[in-house]
Amino acid sequence: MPTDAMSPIALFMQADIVVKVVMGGLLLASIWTWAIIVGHWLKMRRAARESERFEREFWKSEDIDSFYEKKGRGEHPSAKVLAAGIAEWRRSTAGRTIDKDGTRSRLAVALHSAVAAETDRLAARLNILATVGSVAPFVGLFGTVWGIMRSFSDIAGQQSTSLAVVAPGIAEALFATALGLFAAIPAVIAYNRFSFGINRLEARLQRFADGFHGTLSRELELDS
Amino acid sequence: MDRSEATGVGVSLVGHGAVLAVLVLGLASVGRAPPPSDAIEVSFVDEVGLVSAAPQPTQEPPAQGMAPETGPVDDAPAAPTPEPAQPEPRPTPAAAQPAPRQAAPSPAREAPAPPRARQPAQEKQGTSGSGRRTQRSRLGDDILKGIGDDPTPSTSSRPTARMTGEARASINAAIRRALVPCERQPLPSPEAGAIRVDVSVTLSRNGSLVGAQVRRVHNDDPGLRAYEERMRDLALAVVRQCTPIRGLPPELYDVPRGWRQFTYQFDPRQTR
Repeated sequence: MPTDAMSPIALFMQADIVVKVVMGGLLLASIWTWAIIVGHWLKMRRAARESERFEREFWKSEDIDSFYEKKGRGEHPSAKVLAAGIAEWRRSTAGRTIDKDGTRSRLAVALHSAVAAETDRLAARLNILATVGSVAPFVGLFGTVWGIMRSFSDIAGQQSTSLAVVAPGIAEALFATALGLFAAIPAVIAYNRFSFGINRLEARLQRFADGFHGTLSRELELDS
Repeated sequence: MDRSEATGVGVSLVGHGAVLAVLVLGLASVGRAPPPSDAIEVSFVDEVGLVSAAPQPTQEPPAQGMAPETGPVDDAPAAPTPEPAQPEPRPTPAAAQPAPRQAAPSPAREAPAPPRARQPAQEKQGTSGSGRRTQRSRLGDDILKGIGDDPTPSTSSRPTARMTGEARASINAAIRRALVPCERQPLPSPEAGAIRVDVSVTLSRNGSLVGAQVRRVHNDDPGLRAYEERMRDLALAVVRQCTPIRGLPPELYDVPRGWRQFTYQFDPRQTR
């Protein structure tokens, strides 16, 4: 066995075509996982920061309409929830007669569905992390089993059981499992971490929506 | 794909590239074999001395280092009558002395002198103070008695030729030179070269083969067990094909460790 035969590229090049496909797929999965992790982390951080600032300013502002005209066009979740609430308010109060109970329940539903939509949008890629985290070890194991099967058939073919015949094949086969774990471990950690973050953000959006709903329903009473 | 996702893809690609580079550079050195040890300089010598270079065997017999026991004397340091007990053992060595001297011819002349010279001194000591005498007597008076006293000549006659280490080495080299041309046997598999076979070879006086027998097969790898039988045959074939061996010194044929019988090791790894 040459001295640099343990380098990942050499292990990849020596491998069987099936094992190569497995390794390539796992490498792509790992790259994708990390792209999602980094992208999602940036997005969550920005969403949390902007939503917090937006809510603070919203509760300080006197006039909802003017605040909405000024700052309500943001892309972050709280702005979307606010926009959904205001759109529903405007639609419900456009007519001459106002059904207060109907307006209240419609507002509640609109705010709730806006919160759910924002949460879904943020969590869109998390299922990929979950999939990679649970499937990648099995895929790697498949590559390993295949590679070891091939090693054993080599033994049978060469009529020689010396370790020098078996070892390279087993090393390259085990490399597939290593790649699977390499992709799966960060994916599982990130999935758990991010689903906790999403839950927290959803709870905060829900509280904001409830507060906004309370404000609007008080407005309804004042109008009458 | 928005900006944060594009950043994520970029960071991920760069990170994987970095990890791969580290693995290629780092893991490549993990499996590296230990550096080969420095070569040992050897010189091939054509002229080998095939004659005995043994030093003259000495004719002198080994000393008989047994002094008679004189233990009981000092066991009674506080005995009230040490004086009467003393004279008893004293005469014994004196009486024993002449007997071997008469039997001994010339070679051990000076040996009997020390006991003689000691005798008066001891006697003086014995008479001077009995307390001191008991302390000293642990070493017998005649501790040196046997040394050089018994000149019995060695019964074994001097051999005509003797195997020395040097002669042995040169005979081994000569045998190996004779067998090397036949050692290039086709192996059943490249790995089978790791098997070594010890063959006990018996030669006749003119160097032809009388008998060859496999003594032992060295094989550390259980996977190569299937080749052992074949390697036995190959080792025997080497011995059969390259005998008779000419030019071995006839005077060293039948001496102890001579070349009448020797063990030859068939080691394909060394040949190739």
